[in-house]
Amino acid sequence: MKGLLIKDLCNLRQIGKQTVIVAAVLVAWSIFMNTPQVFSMVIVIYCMMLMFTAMSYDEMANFDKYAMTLPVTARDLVRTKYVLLLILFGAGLLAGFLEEGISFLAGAREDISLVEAGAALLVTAFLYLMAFEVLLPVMFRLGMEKARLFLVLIFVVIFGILSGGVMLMKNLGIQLTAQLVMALIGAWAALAVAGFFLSYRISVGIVRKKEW
Amino acid sequence: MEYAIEVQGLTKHYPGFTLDQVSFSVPAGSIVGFIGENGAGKSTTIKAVLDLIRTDGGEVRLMGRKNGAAFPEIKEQIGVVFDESYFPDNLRITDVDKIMKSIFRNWDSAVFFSYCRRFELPDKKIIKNFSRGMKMKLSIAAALSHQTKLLILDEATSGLDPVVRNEILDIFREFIQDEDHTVFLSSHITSDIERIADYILLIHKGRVLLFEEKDTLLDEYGIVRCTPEQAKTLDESQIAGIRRNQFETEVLVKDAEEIKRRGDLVVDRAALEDILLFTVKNEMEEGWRQ
Repeated sequence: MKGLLIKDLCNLRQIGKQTVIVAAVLVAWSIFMNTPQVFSMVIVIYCMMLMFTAMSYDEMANFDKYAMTLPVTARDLVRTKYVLLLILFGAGLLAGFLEEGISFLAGAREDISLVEAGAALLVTAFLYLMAFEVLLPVMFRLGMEKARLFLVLIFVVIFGILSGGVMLMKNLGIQLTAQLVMALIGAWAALAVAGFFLSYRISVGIVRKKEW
Repeated sequence: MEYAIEVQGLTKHYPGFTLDQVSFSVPAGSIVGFIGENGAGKSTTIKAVLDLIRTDGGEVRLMGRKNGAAFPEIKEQIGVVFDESYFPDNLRITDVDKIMKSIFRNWDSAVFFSYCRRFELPDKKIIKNFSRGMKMKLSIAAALSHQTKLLILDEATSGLDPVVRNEILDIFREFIQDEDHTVFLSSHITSDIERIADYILLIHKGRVLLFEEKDTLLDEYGIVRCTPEQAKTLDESQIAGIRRNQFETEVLVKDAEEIKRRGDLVVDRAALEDILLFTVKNEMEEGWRQ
């Protein structure tokens, strides 16, 4: 698995400059528009979208077929992509938290507390993670081109469920207290973690059945 | 005799094509040339041997182990080269070394870089900027750098110029100097196979037509150029294939020496390409007759 991960990171290294430019533009945007949350929210999804780049390189080169002739199992192939997803998720989240922290230190966020900003970032990041948990089996099953079309659909469905949940709470007259928000974030994160393992198992099943 | 690859009754059905009860054994320490026209079933057979497709019947043993390609410890000993390089375009040869070092327990960077130097592969360029020949050389260098015992090549020399092909064939000859080493090489370039193979495996429409030692095949087979009337005097069991044109009839015979002893017919040497063309054509005609 280590070798496959090195390959993915070598592939992504090629768009390192591009990533720095994107980050710089986002920082500039956040400063000039006085909306620091834009950077943190966008950088997480940008990092996770690099999954598409990594898997597209493999697909273009037909690498997975070759990999299956190496001392590598279908499980290794899938596990590498899920580890990469976690690395990208972690990197995006770290960049987001750093930016939020700096903007608070610089006094640019007076509207909400640091905890609230962090919680908002976490909820959004886990939303993205859940979207990719749904998407990864689709990527393995249908390939990158078709999976891209599913991305929008997946976000629409997840946002729909979230909005539905919020509306339901309003209709039921449930007040959003700090404790309830923290409990919801915890449940949301737990759902994302459970979804991660379920998605992994589904992807392993798909790749095992695949003919190359 | 030890066998590097043993295939028994291998069957795989696709819509419009069936790999039909394919059986053969590749002796360890030999080069087996796997020939057949496009779509004959060479790649399907290789994919089945490498466990890249699910089969509908039959058994494959690699390095003595049933369904060996399913086991990483067996795959450690196998080098595979397909008709194209499957390394992503953004990598450099130093990246390939790093990656393979973490995949193969026996990866030998010194051997890999010595092949890269020998093939004059540029270490600064990304693979995207390599020529097709360079990409294939890189794939071969990678396939040979982990104490490989069995090299499986699927059309690895197709589309390469004669100079590069010659260079690659030399590498295979060197590789086979070690008695433990085996090469299973599929190609429709029969001249390459004729130059290096010890055994010839011919497949047509998913069925094995012949599996024979190359020297025996080339010594025994011959082409009789004669009139249609003379062709009729030949024993049916002798005829492996027949080709007619307005000037003469050419008959591929299985025992050239016996025909020579008759004294009334001219028997020419049959090249591997002739054997392929005659045998495949004969099978096609028999198919039409049925």
